Amino acid sequence: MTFNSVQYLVFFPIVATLYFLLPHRFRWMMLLVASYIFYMAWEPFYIVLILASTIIDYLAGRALAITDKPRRRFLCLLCSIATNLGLLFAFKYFNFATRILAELSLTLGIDFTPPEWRVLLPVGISFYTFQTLSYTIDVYWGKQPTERHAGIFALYVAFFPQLVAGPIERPGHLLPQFRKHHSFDYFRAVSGLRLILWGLFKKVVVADSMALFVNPVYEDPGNFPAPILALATVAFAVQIYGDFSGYSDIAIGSARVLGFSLMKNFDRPYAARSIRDFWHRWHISLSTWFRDYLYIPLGGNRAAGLRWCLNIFLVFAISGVWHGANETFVVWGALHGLYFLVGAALAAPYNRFTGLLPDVLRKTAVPLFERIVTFVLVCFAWVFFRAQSIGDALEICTRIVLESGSYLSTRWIPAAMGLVELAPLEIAAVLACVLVTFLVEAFQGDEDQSLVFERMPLLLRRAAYLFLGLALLRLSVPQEIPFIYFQF
Amino acid sequence: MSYQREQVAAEFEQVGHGPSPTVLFVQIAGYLIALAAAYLALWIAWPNAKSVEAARRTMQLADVLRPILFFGDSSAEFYEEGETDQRGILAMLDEMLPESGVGSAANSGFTLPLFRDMFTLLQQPKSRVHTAIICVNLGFLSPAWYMRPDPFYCQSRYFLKYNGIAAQAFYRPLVAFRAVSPVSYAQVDRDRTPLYFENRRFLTVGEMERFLEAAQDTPEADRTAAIAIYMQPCTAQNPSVQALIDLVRKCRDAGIRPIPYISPINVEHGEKLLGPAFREQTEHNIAVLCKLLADEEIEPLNLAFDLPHEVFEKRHPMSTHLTAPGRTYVAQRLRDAIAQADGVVQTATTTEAAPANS
Repeated sequence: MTFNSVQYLVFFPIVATLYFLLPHRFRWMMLLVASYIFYMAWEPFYIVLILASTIIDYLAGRALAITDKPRRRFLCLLCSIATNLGLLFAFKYFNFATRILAELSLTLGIDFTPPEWRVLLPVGISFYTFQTLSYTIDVYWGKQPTERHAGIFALYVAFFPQLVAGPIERPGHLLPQFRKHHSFDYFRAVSGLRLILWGLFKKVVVADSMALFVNPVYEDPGNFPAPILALATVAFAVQIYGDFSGYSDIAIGSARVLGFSLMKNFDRPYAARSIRDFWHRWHISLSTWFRDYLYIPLGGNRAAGLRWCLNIFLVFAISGVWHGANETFVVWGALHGLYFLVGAALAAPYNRFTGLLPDVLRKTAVPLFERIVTFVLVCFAWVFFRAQSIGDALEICTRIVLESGSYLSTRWIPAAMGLVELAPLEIAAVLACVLVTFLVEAFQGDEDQSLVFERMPLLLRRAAYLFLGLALLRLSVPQEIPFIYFQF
Repeated sequence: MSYQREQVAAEFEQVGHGPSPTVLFVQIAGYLIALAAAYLALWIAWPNAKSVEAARRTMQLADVLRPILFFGDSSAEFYEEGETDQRGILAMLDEMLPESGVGSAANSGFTLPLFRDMFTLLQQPKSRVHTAIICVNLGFLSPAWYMRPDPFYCQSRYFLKYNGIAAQAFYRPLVAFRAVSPVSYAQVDRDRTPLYFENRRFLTVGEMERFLEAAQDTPEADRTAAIAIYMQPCTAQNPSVQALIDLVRKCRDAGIRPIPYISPINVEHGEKLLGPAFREQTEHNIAVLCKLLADEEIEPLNLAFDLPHEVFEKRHPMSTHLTAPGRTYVAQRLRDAIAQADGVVQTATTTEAAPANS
C-alpha cells in the first residue's frame, strides 16, 4: 500500500477513527495490526523479516537490561547488529557482493560463477533496520531505557507512517509517544491533513511529472543531445526532492493526525550554501543517524588530519551503499564525501576572500553564488545516483560538459517536449506547479508547510486547497510511478 | 535538531475543538462538490493529453458501420520501409471486398482479451457488422505477450468498459491513485511467471523482458524471444484462449459470424533458431486451439505454416509482419474464407498459390 493510493485514502481514515474511538490501552494493538496490514499489502511474506528484527532487538534490549558485564553487553549488541545487518546484506547486498567478487575473479583469471539468489528487495528494509539498530545501540550506551512492553516495541519498529521510507526515528523520541494518551485535536488534525495534501501534490504532480521526462532520457542517454541530458538532470533533482520530501510530508502529516510527532526530514535542501549545509537539510533523519551512530563513534570532530578525512569519506561512502546495491550509489556517496572534504579545506581561504568583499556583495551575490555552486555540485552527483551504470553516468557528464555547442541550438526543444507525452499547456502548468512548490517552501522558512496555509486569509486558503485539488486531479500522471526511496 | 522533546510536548498541549461534526461534514462535502465541478469544467475545456486521447480514439464508432470488422494486431497494417505496395492486409482486403468494406479494430499491441472487450462496440444500435475476422497470432498465447505492460492497451480496455463522461474524465487521477491499473499485469507478477523451454523452466517473464532490453538485436535475443513467444505450452486455461472462446460465443449469440485465422509464422527461421522443437510446439498449440474452437463448432483458418522465410519482415523475422506477397496471400485467403462462409463457390484460381515454393 502506498500513500498515493485509494487504498491508503480509505485505510488511513478508518485507522484514525478506530484509534480515537478505542480506549488508550487498546490503541497500540490497533496501530500494530494496522501497521502490519499496511506492510503486508505489499508482500505478506516479508513481514517475517520485520518480526525477526523485532524479536531479536526486543530480546537484545531485555538482555542488556539484566546484565552489567561489559563483555555480555557487547555480545548482546553484536548479536543484534549481526542479525539486522545480516538480513540487510542477504536481501539487499548479496547479489551485488557476489557480482563484484565474480568481476574480481575474472580480472585475476579465476573461473568463478557466483550463486544468484533471486529475491525481491523487501520494501523499507534499510529504514526499519536502521531504526531498530538505533534502539539497541542507545540501550547499550545507556541513553535509552529498555522497552519492556513487547507490543509497544513492535510498534516502534513497524509504525506504518514511517515504516517503509522514514523518517528514521529514534527510540528516545518515538517510544514515549506510544504511551501518551492522544485526544483528538481538530487543529492538529487539520495541520496534519494539510501536510498530507502538500506531500501528495509534491509527489503526484511535481515528482511524477518530472519522471515522465527523466525516465526515458536516463534509460537511454546515448540517444539524447547534451541540453536534454542537462535538463533531465535538473528535472531529476526536482523529482527526487518532490518524491522523497512529499513522502516524508505525508508520513509526518499522517502521524500528526493521530497525535504523533515525527522528526523533520527536509529543510529546503536546494537553498543550501554548501555541501555541509546540504546534508543538514537533506534526509535529515538519515544524516543524523550516520552522525550519531557512525561518525561520532569513529572519533567525530575529535579525530584530526588524515584520520578525520578518512572518517568523513567512509561515512559518505557507506551512506551511498545504504541507498542501493550498485556502484553508482557508492560513487554518489564518495562524491559527496569528496565535496565535503574539499569544502572543509577551502573554507578558511574562501571566508578570508569573502571578508574582503563589500557588504552589499556579501549579502546578495555571495549567497546566490554559493547556492548555485552547491546546486550544480549536487546535480552532478545526482547523475551517478540516477544513471543505470557508471558508464552511463560518465557518458552523461562528459557530454553535458563537452557538447557545449549544442546548447546554442533550439532544435532539441521540440524533442524534449515530445518525450513527456503532455500537451504544451500541461507542460506549462506542471512547471508552474514546480515554481509554486519552491516558492511556498521558500516563504515557509524553516517552519512547517501547514503554517503557510494557516497564515493565509480564509478566501485565499480555500482557493489554495482548490488549486492543489485540481492539480492533483488534472495533472496527475496516468502511470504507476513508485516512490524512489521504496527501492532502498 | 528538529525533534526536541519540548517541542513535542508543546505541540501536544495545544488542544483544539474546532467546528461541530455537522458543520465539518457540510464543509468537506462542499469542498468535494466544488472540486469535482471545477475539475469537470476544466476537463471539458481542456481535454486530456494525447496519450489518453489516443485510447479514446480507438473506440470510434465509424468502423462498426461496415459489415465486416477486422480484429487485428500490428500485422494488419504493417508494411516494410521501401516497399512499393504499402497497403496492409486490412487495406488489401478492403479493396478486395468493395461492396461490403472492412472496418478496422486493429492496432499495434491489440490482443485477444482486448478484442473480447471491444465486442461492446458491436452491440451499438447503429452497428452493421455481420462478420468478425479475428486475428490469432500464436504469440498471443504466451504470457510473455499477454502480460506485457502496455498502458495503451489498458486505457483502451478501460474506456471500453466505462464509457461515461465521469469515468473518462477521472481516468488520470484514478490511475495516479492506484484505483485503476495502467498495466495488465504488475511487475511483481511478471517477475514470478515462468516461461518454459523443452519442459524446463527457462526464465520468468520479467527476466526475459530485462534480458531482451539489454541484448537487443543479438542472435541470443532472437532465440530468447522465439522461445518466450512461441514455445510456451498452450492450455484451455490460457487467458488469451479463453478470451477467444468468449469472443466467438458472443459473436455467435449476437448473430455475427466469427472467422478466426491463425496468422502465418516464420517456421523456417524458428527451426533454424530452435530446431524441430519449434514446429512441434507450435503444432501442439494450434491443435489445442483448434480442438477448443471445434467444441464451439468453428474451424479456424490456419495459415501458420503457409509462408516461406522470405516474405517475413527482414529486421524481425520472428514477428508476424509480412512483406507485400505475404500480405496479399493472407488477404486473399481471408477473402475466400468470407466468400465460403457467404456460400459463394470459389474457383481454383481465386487465390493465388502461397508464395512458398510456388
